[in-house]
Amino acid sequence: MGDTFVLVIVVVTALAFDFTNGFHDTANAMATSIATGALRPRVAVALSAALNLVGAFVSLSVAATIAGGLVRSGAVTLSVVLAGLVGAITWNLVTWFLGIPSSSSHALIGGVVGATIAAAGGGAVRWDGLVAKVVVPAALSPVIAGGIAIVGTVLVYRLSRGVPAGLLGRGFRLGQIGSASLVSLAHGTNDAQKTMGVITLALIAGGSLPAGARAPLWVVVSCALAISLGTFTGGWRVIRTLGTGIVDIEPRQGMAAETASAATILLSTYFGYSLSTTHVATGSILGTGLGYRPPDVRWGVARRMALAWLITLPTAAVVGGLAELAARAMGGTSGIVVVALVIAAVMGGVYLLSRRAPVGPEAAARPADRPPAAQDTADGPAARDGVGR
Amino acid sequence: MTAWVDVGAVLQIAGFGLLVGAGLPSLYALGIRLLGSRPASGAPAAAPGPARRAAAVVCFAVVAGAVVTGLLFLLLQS
Repeated sequence: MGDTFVLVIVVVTALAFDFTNGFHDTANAMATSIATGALRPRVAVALSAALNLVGAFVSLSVAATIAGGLVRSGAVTLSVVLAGLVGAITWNLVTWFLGIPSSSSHALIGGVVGATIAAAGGGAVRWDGLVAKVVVPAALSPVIAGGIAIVGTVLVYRLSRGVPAGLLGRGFRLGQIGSASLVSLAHGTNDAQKTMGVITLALIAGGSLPAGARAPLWVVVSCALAISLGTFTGGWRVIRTLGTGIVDIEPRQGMAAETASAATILLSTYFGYSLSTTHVATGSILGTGLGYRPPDVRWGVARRMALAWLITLPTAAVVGGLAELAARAMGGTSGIVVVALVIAAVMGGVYLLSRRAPVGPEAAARPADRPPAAQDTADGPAARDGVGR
Repeated sequence: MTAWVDVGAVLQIAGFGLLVGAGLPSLYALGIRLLGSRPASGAPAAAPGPARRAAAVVCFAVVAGAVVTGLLFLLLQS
């Protein structure tokens, strides 16, 4: 009885993480489409949510990476999984509150690794797997996506020279909707699986599933729904940063960036790498800013984000480790219940804090430092069409 | 110890990524240009002739076809 109760708590917490994963990452697919006005904010998140749902049901190779390659499965207990999730959720909420696009995948991996170290020592972590499957792809993926986006942007601008502004705007906004949809689908295939992997890990640790089992159908369905619901909620704070904070984006750049992201994510999923969609999307947006003449990137914002990326794994690991130590100190079911209540309180607290300076769908479409009247005329981005090439 | 970087996989991701990630938007841009570029003389834009229109449709069709084929290939593999 006690075990089932604990298992239920862990599964619910995992779904809560999946939800934060959804709203934290809506920006990866939709920030540029919202910034250029290709899609209205509400329509954008609804479309993204639907495609995340579809994506979550197909392709299941990454889940195995999270479950198998990073920690020795003997070291994983239910409280380790819960503590890992606590680290991941905390990091996701804090970065969302600050409007920083950071990797949900790294938060999850950091949390689980930290909790494992606290429970069983550093020897229980497969460090070579961590480097080969997480750290190296994290460093390479934004560079690859950025390079593709630079080439795509330069070619697209060269090829579309001389096209009348009206057709240019309409044509590429349409293209952007298509490419953003691809990123949403890719996000669903990639990120929903990570939570499926974690829940499967918990079910194995709790003895409900044999070691090496695949995710049962109810896990797939509930994870798909949770990430989709989270996406639909719209992480407007992060959308604002990614869509308008780093690069002023126009439709041609948005399309080039999103296609680069979708291609990188889908191909990497195919090779079994659990990439961070956030790193890829940010790399692409930086790339499209560099491919534009003259190059147009706000490096200050980019630096702040890169710093956040560097500390994601260690910070989530520390929080996850502390949560595991706390659960242990109290012991057994009561320790787990207390940790779960604390993370629920943290979630409520951050939510209440965010209500003091809310950022809604309308505010997300323009930069934080620009008043409403200065933008939003339909030819705001189009005015630049004559300048670019 | 396993290799930290699978160079083969990285090169394949970069190569195929460049092909579809930069190639498809370029093809789409070409289609748009065929539909609406102005004559070099600077005369006002005229409606594109049937040949240009057909070429543009081919561009868009190749883009759409590549996306659908690619998705089916990647997603049905696993």
